[in-house]
Amino acid sequence: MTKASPLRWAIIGVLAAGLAVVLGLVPFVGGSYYAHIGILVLLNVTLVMGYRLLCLTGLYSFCHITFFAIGAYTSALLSTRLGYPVWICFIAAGIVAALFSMALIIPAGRVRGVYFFLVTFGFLEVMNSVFLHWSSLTGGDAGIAVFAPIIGTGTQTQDYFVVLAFAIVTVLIMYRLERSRFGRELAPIGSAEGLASVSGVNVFRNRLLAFAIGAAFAGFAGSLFAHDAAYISANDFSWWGSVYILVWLVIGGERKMWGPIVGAVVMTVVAEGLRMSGIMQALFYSGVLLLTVMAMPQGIVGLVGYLRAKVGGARTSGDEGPPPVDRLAEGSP
Amino acid sequence: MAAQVIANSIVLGLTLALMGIGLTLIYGILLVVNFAHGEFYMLGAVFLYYVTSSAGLGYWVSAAVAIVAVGVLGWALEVLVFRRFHGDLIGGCIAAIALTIGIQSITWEVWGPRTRAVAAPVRGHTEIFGAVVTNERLLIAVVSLVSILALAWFIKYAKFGKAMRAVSEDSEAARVQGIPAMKISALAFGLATGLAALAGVLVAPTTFVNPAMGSIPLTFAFIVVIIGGMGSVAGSLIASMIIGLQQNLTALWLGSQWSIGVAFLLAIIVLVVSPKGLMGHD
Repeated sequence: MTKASPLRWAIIGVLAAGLAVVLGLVPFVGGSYYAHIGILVLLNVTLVMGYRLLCLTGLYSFCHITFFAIGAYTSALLSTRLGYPVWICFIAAGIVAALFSMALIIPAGRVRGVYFFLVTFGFLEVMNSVFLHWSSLTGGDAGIAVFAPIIGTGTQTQDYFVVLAFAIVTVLIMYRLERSRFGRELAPIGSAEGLASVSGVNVFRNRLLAFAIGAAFAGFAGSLFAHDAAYISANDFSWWGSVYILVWLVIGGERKMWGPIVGAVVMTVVAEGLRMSGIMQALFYSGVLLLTVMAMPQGIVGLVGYLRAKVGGARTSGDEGPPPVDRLAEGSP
Repeated sequence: MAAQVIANSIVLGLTLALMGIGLTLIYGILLVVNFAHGEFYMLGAVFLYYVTSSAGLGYWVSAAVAIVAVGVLGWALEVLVFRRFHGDLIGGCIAAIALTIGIQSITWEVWGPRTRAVAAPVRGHTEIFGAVVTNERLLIAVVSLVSILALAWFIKYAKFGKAMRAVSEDSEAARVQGIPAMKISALAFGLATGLAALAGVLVAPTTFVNPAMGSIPLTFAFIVVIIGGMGSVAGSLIASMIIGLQQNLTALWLGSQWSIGVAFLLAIIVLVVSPKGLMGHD
C-alpha cells in the first residue's frame, strides 16, 4: 500500500455512502415505476456477475438466461403447486439451476470456443421449447401466475429492498470469490489453458464450479423475478436475454468486476429510458454496441484503464486486473 | 407415405442448405459467427417485394436484383465492420447482433407493421414416385440444388474458389503465397449473404414477407452448421438433409411444435460425440 491509500479509502467511503443513499432513496423519490426499474437493474447486475465467472476461464456460454428461467419456473411451480414458502422456493431455484448447469457442462465441457457457444445456444433452444410446449407443467404461452409475494404484501418498494439486499450479497460474494484460490485460478485458465493445467490447476473442476455458481445466482435471480412479477411465461426467456447479458459484459468490460456492473446498469437504464420511441431505441442500441466493440474492445474498463495510463503514466502499473482473456485462444487453431 | 416424407425432407433440406452453407462459408474464412445471417435472407425477400411492386419487373429479374443488392451490402459490411473481428468470437457476435438490431429496426420503419405476399412464378403441382410436390417447392429445390452444385464446382475449380479454400485452411499461409486474404474474405461474405438472399427470394412466395422472417431460418442455419461442422460446405449439405428428414419425422411422430427442440437436441448430441460436428475444422 502506498501513501495515497488513506485518501483512496476516503474517496471509496464517500462514493459508497453516496451510492447507498441513492440506492436507498430510489423507490421513495420516483415511486413504484422507479422501484420497478431498480429491481430490473439489480437483477440484471446479478445475472451478469454470475455470467462473468465462466467467461473468465475463456468459455463463453449463451444460455445464462435459461438458468434464470429454470430458477423462475422452479420457484413458481414449488410455490403454486406445492405451496412451499418463498424462501424455500428461492433456495431450491438456485440449486435446481446449478444442477442443470452441471448436467450441461459435463458433456459440453468437452468442446471449446465457438462450439461451446453453440452447444449452449442449443441447450437454450431445447429448454425454451420445453417451456413453451410442455404446457401441463409450465403453462406454455399462457404462463403461470405466481401469487406468493417475496415478503410482506409484495409492493414494488418491498421487492426492491429484497432485490437490493440480494444484489449486494451477490456482489460481495463475487468479490470474495475472485480473491479466493478458486477465483485466482480462473483467469490463467482463460489465457493459457494448457499451461494452467500442467501447473496443477484442475481446469474442468474450476469451470464446473464457475458455471454452477453462476447458474445458481441466475436461479436465485429468476426466483425473485417470478415472485416480483407475479407472472412468468415462456416469452420472458427468449435468446435475446442471453444477448443482453453478453452485451452488458462486453460494454462494461469483463476484466474487472465493476465493468459488467456498469455495463448492466447503463444499458438497462438506457434501454428503459428509450422505450418510448421504438426505432430510435433500436438504432441507438445498435450504434452504441457497434461503436463499443469496434472502438473499445475491452469495454468501459479498457477505456478507463487507457485514460488512467495516459494521465498517471507508470503509476498505475501495480493496479492491473486479471490479464486480458485472449478470445482468439480457443476459437482458432 | 414414405415417398412423400422423403420428398418433403429433400425439399426442406435443400432450402436449409443455402442458409447453412453461407453461414459455414463465413465462419470458415472469417472465423466469425454471423448472427445477422437471417437479416440478409429477410432483405432478399423484402427487396424482391419492392422491386416487383414498384419497378413492375418480373419475378426472376427482381430476384436477381435483390440478390445482387444484398450481396453488395454484405460485401460492404465485411469491409466496414466484420474485417475487424476476424477470429474474435465474442466481438464478432456482438457486431453481428448490433447489425441485426439495426437492419431489423430500419426495415420495420420502412416496411411498417404488416406482412405482404409475393406472387409465385409457377403454379400447380407435380407427382414424383407417388409423392405430390407443389411446383413452387419443386422450383425451390431445383434452384437450390443447381446453386449448391455450381458453388461446389466454383469452390473446387475456380481461381477465386481455390483462394477461398486456401484462406479458410490457413489465412496466414495464404497471404504469404500472395493471396489477397482481405479481398477474398469480403467477396466470400458477399457471396454468402447473396446465398442467404437467394434463399429469401425463393421462399418468399411460399410464406409471408415481413422484417422478422429471418429469425427461424437463422436458427435452422445454426443447427445445420453445428451438425455439419463449422467451415465445411459438404458437412452443411449433409446436415441439411438430416435436419430436413428430422423435421418431417418429428412432425409426424411427436407433433410439429417439437421439431426445433428435437433438432437442437440432435445438434447437442452430435457436438458432444464429435466435438467438431460431422466434418468441421477449427
